[in-house]
Amino acid sequence: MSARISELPGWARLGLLAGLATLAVASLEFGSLARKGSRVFPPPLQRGIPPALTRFSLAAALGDEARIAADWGYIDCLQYLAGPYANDGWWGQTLPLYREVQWLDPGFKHAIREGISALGWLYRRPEEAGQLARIAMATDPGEVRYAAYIAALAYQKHLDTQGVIKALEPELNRPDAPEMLLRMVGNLMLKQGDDRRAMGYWAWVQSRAREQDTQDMAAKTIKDLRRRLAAGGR
Amino acid sequence: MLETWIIASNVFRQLLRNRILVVLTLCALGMVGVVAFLGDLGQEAELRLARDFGLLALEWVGFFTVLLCHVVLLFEESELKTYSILLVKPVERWHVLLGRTVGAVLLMLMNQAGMLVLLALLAWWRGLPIVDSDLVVAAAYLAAGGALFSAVTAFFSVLASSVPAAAMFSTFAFGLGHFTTNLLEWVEHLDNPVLAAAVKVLYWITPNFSLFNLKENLDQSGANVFLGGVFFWPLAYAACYGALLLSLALWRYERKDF
Repeated sequence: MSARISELPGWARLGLLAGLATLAVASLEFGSLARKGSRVFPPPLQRGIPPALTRFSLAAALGDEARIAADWGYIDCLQYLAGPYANDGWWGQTLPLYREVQWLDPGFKHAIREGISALGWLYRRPEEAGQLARIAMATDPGEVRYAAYIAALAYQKHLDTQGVIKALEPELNRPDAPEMLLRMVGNLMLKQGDDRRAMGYWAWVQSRAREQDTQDMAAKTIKDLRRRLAAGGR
Repeated sequence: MLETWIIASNVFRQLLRNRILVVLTLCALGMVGVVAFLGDLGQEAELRLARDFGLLALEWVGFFTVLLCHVVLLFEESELKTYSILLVKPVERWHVLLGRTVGAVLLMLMNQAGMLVLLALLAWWRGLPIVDSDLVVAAAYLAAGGALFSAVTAFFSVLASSVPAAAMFSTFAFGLGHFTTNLLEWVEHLDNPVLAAAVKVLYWITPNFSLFNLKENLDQSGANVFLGGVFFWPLAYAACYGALLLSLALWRYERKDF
């Protein structure tokens, strides 16, 4: 084939280029429509933008990398929780950090549930935890598990430990429940003073935990509980 | 087409000889190491993080492979005058342009396949199902996006007056191609029809790489992620837009004096 585009008559060349351009624009439009139809959540910029959104997250969301930015934000959250931030309003940036992850990817449910657990029971700020849970539920109404957290937080506000444990029971039995939640509920049981029940619970946690932190904590707690029970604990 | 294939396979061999592959293989190895490290940091979300960062690494390795291939070929053509040797052979200029584009795509495919194997090894070592059919499909569409980027870079390597300019224009087009879809959706919500029309034109003109991003659909079971259009239209777009760019580039290339 020796046809050269530069040797084609002007009308034929223009027709060829215009035809290809039309097909390209049409496939772009149809492709974008199909993509919109396949979305589970609206695009980030059409969700309520969190007040403390970073430029990195905004740029990533605009650049079609919201999922990766959510992953990065989640690593930030974990680093922050493990860091020395007691003077920062007792880990005061926890809500903005998890809120950013939730905004970037409402489908990152594990991170959101973990954020609610940390705020509600690790730092004892049920108002903030409830705020995160309500926003998550409004964005993702199909996820019924947030309702259990909201109910447990309501009990937490009234310092009703038994109510919290009861509300979270179905959640604890799920294989992907955040291990932070398992540890928090274990601590609530210890506070209740029912050592035998706590012993059973922590042995169950030890059998299912994947994280080394949880395994270590379970082993230490079980050891303490054995000592207490041997000394005549309840 | 035989001539095009011969040029493409020679371009591929020449790029292998240029040791680009060594640098890129080291980068790919480093990136898989980073994937393992970031997955570790994610604790309970290790699987999700390993898959997401693995796909990101695939996309970036594809981008650098294609860009480096075209930059090296353009440098050899313009500075070392290898094109003059090729012109005395019975080949048309479109054979050369298409062969160059396909040669770069071949090297990119080889690199991406190598990275997928590395990810599969990482998955086997960690005992995590990182590489599954969803990830392979998402990687295949990133490769399709990489093929379109090869056409974009070929276009700029013909149009630009120097090697750095071609690299810069191509990189800019790659970046912009990820932004225009979200930018358009954003300005459509603003009450500014002039701005919306301007962004719409930009959206049509610049290459759109968002169409090839199926990463966002991973783990979204229950949604309509398997709509046929999500899979068909990006390929149709890559074919039509790539053909348009290569036709424009060829028009200019045939009139170019060396």
